[in-house]
Amino acid sequence: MQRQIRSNVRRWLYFFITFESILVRFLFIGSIPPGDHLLLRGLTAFAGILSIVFIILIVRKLTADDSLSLATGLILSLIPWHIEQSRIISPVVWVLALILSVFYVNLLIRKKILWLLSIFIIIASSIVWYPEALSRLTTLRNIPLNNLLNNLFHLMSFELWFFKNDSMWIGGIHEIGILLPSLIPLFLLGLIVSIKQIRKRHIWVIIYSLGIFLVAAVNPQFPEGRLFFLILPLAAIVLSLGTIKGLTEMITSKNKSKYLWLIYFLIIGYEYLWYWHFYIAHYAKSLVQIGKVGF
Amino acid sequence: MIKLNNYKILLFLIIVLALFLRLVWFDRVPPSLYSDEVSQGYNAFSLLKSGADEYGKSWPVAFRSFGDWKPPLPTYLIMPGVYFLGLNVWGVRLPGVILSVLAVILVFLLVRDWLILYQEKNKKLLKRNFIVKIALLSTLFLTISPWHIFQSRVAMLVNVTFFFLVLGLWSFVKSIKNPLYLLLCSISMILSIYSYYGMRLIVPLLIFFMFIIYPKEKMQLKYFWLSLILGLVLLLPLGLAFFKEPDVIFGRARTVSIFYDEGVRLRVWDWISADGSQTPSWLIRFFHNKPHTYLWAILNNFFSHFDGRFLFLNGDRQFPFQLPGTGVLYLLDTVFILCGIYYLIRNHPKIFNWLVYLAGIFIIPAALTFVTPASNRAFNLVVISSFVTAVGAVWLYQKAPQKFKNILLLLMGLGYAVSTSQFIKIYFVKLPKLYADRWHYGYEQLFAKTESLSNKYDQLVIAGPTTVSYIFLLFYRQELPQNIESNIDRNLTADVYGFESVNRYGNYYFPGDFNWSVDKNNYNEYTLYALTEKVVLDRDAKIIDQIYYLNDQVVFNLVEKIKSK
Repeated sequence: MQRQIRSNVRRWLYFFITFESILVRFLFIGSIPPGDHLLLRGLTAFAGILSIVFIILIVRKLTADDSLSLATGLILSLIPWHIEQSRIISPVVWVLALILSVFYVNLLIRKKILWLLSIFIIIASSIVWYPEALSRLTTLRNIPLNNLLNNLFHLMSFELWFFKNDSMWIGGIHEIGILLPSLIPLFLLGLIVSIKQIRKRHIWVIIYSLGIFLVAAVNPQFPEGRLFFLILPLAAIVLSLGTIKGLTEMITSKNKSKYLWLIYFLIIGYEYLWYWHFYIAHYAKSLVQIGKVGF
Repeated sequence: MIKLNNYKILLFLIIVLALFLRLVWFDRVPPSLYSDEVSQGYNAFSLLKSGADEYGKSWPVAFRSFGDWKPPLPTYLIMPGVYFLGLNVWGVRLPGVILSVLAVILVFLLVRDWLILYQEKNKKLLKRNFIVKIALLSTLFLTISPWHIFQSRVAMLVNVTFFFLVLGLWSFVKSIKNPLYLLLCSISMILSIYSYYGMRLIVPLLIFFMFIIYPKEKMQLKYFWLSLILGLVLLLPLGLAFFKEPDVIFGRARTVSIFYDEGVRLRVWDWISADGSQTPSWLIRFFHNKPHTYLWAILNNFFSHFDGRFLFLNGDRQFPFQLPGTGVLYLLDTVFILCGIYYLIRNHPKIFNWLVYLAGIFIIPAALTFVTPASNRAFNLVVISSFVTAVGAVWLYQKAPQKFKNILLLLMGLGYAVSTSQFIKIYFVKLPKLYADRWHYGYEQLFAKTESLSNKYDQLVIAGPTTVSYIFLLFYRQELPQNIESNIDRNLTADVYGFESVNRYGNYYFPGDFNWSVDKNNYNEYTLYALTEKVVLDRDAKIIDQIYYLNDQVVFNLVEKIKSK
């Protein structure tokens, strides 16, 4: 279902999302978390914002659905892991921005040679920023199958996604997952909607996802690797599908379930406040205590 | 194509397979009776001999046991086994095996009758042949499921519960055409409450679910009220016992419940401390409070049961339910479960929604405990996993091009043959040899030995691997319940895990933490000690005999103190 928004409203929503992304990523960037290398942090934050802009453009181009594209952008900008990584020096954010920008350019121009060139650029950049990625892939057959499966299931687990993100052990917030627990119903709803709507032409989504899962799973430092971060745009799309479905149910419902939805969305709001308190008050203190402030 | 009259032959073969997998080496694998099994067996024996449990309580509605207040029905169902086969592994475990095989048959009936009913209401897609295939495969997958085989071969509460739950669900499905079955549904559900603590939460939620989905145009209020009244009448004994002794309902729940665990409280305290005195207290309480933190922990516990590492790789972390090297389901099941979920979401969302609701209900009791994921507490999930796996397998087969169907069938058969063989190797070969300690192995051999040595010693001290060694003594000596009261010295103060213990029975002593260098002086010189390898001995100790696990590791050292000259 394509949900169109009037162009002036759409422009204001783009502006709001971009402004919110800038605010969330740049405000107190040198002190939360504490650290130096302000320029590099600023560049990462900029890359983070670019990834949000491009995901909106990509989703709109693919689906012609304004609500979905804007919801995806907003959700990506608010995903805790995306916020955390955008506010520190994190090459994976640059890689994400590069992937999304290259993908968008290919959507506009649609030439096969450009696709091949793009894949080459992405792989080459990934190796430059993550040289160990090449060595991981070449040692694939030395990895015990049980370890690989264990890692794959870990990457798919509710624990990682909603309760304990143990990537980047020293610098990360481990008390929460990639997403907040209150988002579980919306995420699952989004998965169900995705499964109902998936078609053969979406095969690239599955290939991309499997690729990210595999590369992250073979990391020798697993679970302390951040390449899995590249799955976030897809997670944002799934979550936005679920959110739109949930909001639609709430608005169109004629019975008391409307109030249950409202309470539920208030709980999500509370958890986001909780997250911000944790990020600002507890995260910074814990980093100072363990002496890790230089990133 | 499966012809309808052929399916009975296939079903018969599956039942034979189920019997075989559950009865082969029945007395050797698992290698010994676990403490819970021994407790149930002995209390069944006690009831047969005296009409009362080990505490002298007549026909109780909950067995105090080790302070865990076991629901009564599994023990009562063991009574025929003990009566006919004796107080031994056969008498204790065989009733559970019979129930598990009956449950396999019931799953077939449940899946078949439910899908037939669904097909009549939703004319879409489901051919009768398709239904029978799914029902047969569900039964087969349950039969070879590591999860179900494991629980079937031991006298654990959840196996009994599973039977009554499936009976209740099947009779509910039948009641839509014949409301008399509502009475059977009511009886089954109430009996399941008498079988396992978790059903006290599950059954009300199930009743609510059943009421919602029951076609209102078919509901005959007479039978509905009759079944409700029947259920309440059957619950009366439990209700009355609760007023006399609240632990009958809450006893075990209190000690395994997440609200009993200090972890959550400590975490909240840590966060409050980290905020310091600069943050206003109202703000601290707003962000760091027990309701939010408990909800978080419960959700984490709930969803841990869908973790692939638990389901397909490592299984339960808790002894004795851990089977190293295998999950509770086969790895191959992932393929068909994913296919099944995909197919159901796209074609039969109603069925999918019902399964989600049922799965949620089945996991709630486990989510409220603090050791998760728990394969025993979430055991009822196995019926859903078997069904979804079957749906996925049948769908995949239907979807395959005609020329590949036979190859696919061959690959599936081969895959499951290999998976089942690997499980059989782990369960029948590795488990008894390497993990007998988790099954409290050694007591039977110990008490056989001490029986022959008892005339040489005044006192026998047992510092075993479990705090409830006394029950093994009562069991293996077939101690008459009439003798217990005068011989036993109980410690009714629960330990940190909520278990009560026994200090002494006759001339057998059961100290808690035993330190040889200190505690040897508490007993006279005509004392035989049965100590685990963890107990550090000194020059005063003389090992006169040893009892071994099947891997030749020592279970007990039989020690006497070197007599002073």
